[in-house]
Amino acid sequence: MDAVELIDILTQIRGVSGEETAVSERIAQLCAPFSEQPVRTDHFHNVICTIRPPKEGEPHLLLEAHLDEIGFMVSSIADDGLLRVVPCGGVDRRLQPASPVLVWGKPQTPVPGVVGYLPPSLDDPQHPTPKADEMVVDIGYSSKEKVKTLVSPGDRITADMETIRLQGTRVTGKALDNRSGCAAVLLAGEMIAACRDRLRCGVTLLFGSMEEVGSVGTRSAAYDISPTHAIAVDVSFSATHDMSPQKYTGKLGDGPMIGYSPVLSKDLSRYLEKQARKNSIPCQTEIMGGRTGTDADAIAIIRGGVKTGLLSIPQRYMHTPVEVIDTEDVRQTAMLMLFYAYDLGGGVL
Amino acid sequence: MTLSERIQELCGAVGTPGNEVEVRRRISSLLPDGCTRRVDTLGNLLVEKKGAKAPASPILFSAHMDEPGLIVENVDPLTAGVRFALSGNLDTHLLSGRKVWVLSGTERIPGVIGIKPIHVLRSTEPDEPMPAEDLFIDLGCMKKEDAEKLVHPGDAAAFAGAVTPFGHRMLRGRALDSRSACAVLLGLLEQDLPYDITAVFTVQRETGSAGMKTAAFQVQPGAAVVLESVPSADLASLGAKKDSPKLEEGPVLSLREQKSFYDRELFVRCQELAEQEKIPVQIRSAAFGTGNGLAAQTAGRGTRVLELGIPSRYSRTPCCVQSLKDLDALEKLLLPVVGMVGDILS
Repeated sequence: MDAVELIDILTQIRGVSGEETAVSERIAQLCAPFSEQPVRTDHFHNVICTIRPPKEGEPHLLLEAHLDEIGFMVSSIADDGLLRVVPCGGVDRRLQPASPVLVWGKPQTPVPGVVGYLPPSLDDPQHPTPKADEMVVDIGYSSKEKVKTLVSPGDRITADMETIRLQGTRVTGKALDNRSGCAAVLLAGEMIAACRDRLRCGVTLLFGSMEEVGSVGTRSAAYDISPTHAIAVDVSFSATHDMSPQKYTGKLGDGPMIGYSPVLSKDLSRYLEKQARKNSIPCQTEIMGGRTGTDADAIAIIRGGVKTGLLSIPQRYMHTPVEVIDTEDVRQTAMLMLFYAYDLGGGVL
Repeated sequence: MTLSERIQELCGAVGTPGNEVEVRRRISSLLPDGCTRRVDTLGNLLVEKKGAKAPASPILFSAHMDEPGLIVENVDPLTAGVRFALSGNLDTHLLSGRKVWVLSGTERIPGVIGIKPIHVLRSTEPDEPMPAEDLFIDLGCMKKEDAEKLVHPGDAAAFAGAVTPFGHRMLRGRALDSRSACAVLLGLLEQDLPYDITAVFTVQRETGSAGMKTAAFQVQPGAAVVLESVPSADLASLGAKKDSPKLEEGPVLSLREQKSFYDRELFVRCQELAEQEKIPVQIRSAAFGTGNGLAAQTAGRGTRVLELGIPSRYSRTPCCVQSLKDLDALEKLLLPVVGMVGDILS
């Protein structure tokens, strides 16, 4: 599989928190060729792929990325045919006015819409941006009855944005948080499976649901998998012009950001850093004084505790429809996980 | 080509104020045979079409080609981001989180206007949109030099995207409120007309109607029919304004714009005409902003103006919405308007 192609496929599939069926099915298909056991999809839409089950006494490594994306959910249909919506996850209200969206309602194909907006010339010039839970979506019908045949409360809404290539190896689009992480775990899984006979640890991939609303899916699936070691892959902040470069040191193209945080295993993080240097994989560090704000927080405290590491793909403009990542970072993140899986349990490359 | 297809074709072109070449080329390629065409100093496209009779003085029809957009200032040495200024009336609520095209020669370089994630806002920072001077176009370049090889100060940039049909015979997308009128005017030129007309596709409407002012001076019309989009706040859920033109209720006959009143006789006769032809129209008596109407009215010795509007939701945003019902009605109304104006002038 190719990183760019994978990211293109994964970002275009819908999977707003709590309604991840489509992305979950697609990811299950993508891991099927290298899964040792049939790929499992549970009631949360988590996808679990066993690359190699652990033998008695061996460590068991979990590689995880969340598969859900932020978006809106339809809460009701107004008399003038507009959809009242509520946010799913940390939606940035600043970007919503008059932006194109897709409503995943009853028809096979998504219903196009626009987030409603009163331009300033028609309103107070200083008018504030509507709150995320006061937003409405216009799907171009004035009849409530007609709208009811297309959309129902609970339907999810995504940004209508295709993924495109920017200069070099950078791409932009929606849901790169965290489909880039999913791509890295898929790539790693494929490479690890190719040499599963030489592994001395169990390896399981988990694509977790509902991270954006509090790591709901991964918490349960990781409990079930019961790993001894884990690496979570997510995206993290790459400094942009409007962020302090002293505080946010992550750079696009400089490789995965290895996380340090109280809940993460310092040994594991140090090992990843060493491993990266040894194998000429570019990497950077990300220092967090408390929670990581990723699924790593949930995985580390499963059962009696799991030695957990966090690899973050540097990203600009998180939670916007124009997130930017460098696909080279995705490839390097996958490589680093491959080397770690080899080493765990004493295997040599 | 249907009206909807013509609109989609024209909106696919980028044309910010002063950079209307691509739009003009597409309009030219859609012009029917038998028209004479001329491009003037500023880039207006003036098209003369013969009708059954010559009017006592020229009849001008206009639509503007330009859309509000951005213009490249320079490249930031630290981030390799492209600084830009606004070219036309855009509000800062609409800049971040958008994909753009920078026009470099005939090439379109894709970029995005990003914003600091809400996660990293300090608790004292309001989560309000950023002013344009604090935003950049990110082309994905690593170094300033890389970006400078691709774009140059003065290059135009505009919101990327397309116009697509949606809902009940509606269209949504980029540049729609700027350009749908051009497509309607092209439709008029395809018909047999009762009088000669000059159709003018103007430049630089969004930055002060420079195109209309100079075009009207050249044509010296006895009357000008100006096609414009009219902002509509017609949805109750968004706090509908009571005087707002509504989508699907027909073209808008404007009594005025912000700074001037239009010709009363043309207005009344057009209203009667619409009734005869059974074409629904709406009346606008309050208006914000000023545009090609006043420009035509006051060019040279001045002229009589009839302004016909297309109701537009989310007007002047990267995702405007118009109804094909209104656009069809406007196209249908224009032919009898030629006769009506010609008769008044004779």
